[in-house]
Amino acid sequence: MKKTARYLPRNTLWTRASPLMRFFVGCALIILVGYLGLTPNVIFGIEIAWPHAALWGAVGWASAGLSVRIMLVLILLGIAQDLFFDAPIGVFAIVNLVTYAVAAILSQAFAVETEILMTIMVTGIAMTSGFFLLWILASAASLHAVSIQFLTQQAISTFIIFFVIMGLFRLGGLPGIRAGTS
Amino acid sequence: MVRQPFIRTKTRPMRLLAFGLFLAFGFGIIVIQTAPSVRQAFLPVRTTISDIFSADQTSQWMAYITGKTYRERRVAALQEEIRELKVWQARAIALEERVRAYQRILNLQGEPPSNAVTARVITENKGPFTRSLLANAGRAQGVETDYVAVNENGLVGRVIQVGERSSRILLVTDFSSRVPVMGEISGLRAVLYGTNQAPGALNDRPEMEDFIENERVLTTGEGGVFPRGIIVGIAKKQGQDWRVALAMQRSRDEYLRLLPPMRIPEPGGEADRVSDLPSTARADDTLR
Repeated sequence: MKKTARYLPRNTLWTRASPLMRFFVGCALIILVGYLGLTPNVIFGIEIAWPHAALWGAVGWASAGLSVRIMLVLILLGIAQDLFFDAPIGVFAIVNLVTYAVAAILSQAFAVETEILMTIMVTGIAMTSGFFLLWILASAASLHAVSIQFLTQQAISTFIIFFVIMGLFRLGGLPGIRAGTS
Repeated sequence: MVRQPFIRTKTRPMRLLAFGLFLAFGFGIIVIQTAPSVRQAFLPVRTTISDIFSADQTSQWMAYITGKTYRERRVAALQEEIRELKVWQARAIALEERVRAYQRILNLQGEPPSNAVTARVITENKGPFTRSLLANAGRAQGVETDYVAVNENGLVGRVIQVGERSSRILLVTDFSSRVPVMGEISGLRAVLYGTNQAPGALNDRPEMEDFIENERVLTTGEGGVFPRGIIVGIAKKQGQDWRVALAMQRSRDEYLRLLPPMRIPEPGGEADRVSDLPSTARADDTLR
């Protein structure tokens, strides 16, 4: 009881938002970040490894379990990424789906909403699997092992930024409240 | 109001099936694209998307937001101006060469060589007494009384007091300031009187004719203080009087150039006595 009270939500616009509204906000953020990523991202002469924003959605939304609607959105986002990055159609859709599935399976197996270490671990494993799959598919498509350096930088930036904004990809679960314990 | 907490749903077989189908579909599409004809089929979509959401267009938006567009436009305008000025510079150099040649032919004595000093304005006195500036160059920098102060727009005034490292400059707006001037086009001469206000008054006009409205007013070089040809301002008619919109007031620059006055040695003076000596004697003096 004490634990539940500690996590009572503040009465803000975001806490009152429905899961669908949060989902739309997450989608908008992914599209915005992805779109901005098409610009030359150079600050003070240093090229920034722009994050794969769709993976934030794949990992964040996965804590609600598998959903066909989310899968469809991830596929659409993936196709858009394919078109922008000139990748074979379907590559990023598969990467997003696999990351989503891995994150969903691990989220169900571990208490990701209460233990920060678990959140880090699940996010890390899901994103690593996604980037690893991306590396394999990119290498297969280009018939040679592509450089892993820039992909690693992108993975790190995606991973770090996710922990800053992961609240925006929470579809409604309250930290500390497990199903049936409220 | 306590929001309905999220309830984790168990993964249903249908969703797993959907996931498997999507995955298989994705892999299938990738495999199909290994065929060049299929890859070609996607090409129009790619190019259309690229046209609509081109990175270049996004860059333009970002550049507009961050002000890069304005800066680039400004740089381009300045580059254009530099190109035009280069043409003028080349013409000016050619003309200068020609003028020198004419001066040599005519044996014309030109303006004395300039020994200017750049100084920073420390204070500006706009009190009830004098309109003057204090600059941070004095005797140590070679500044003397009657040095002429100009900024990038034109005449500012003349040095009336010199310290070791500072000098006081009487502005042309001061009530006691008098500057011999002439119209650049009309050639009419007058004396510019300071009025303690922005426009100076053109008085003592021997020709008693009208200046041309908006013509530039320059120093004549008469009186042996102000070198000839320094821009003073623009002639404006106010009623029956002629005024000068002073050029120096267009600038807020805190730096001044102090030019030596155009002093021409009087005949029979020290300079003439030195020049009367035989050339060998002058050479000896120099060696000493």
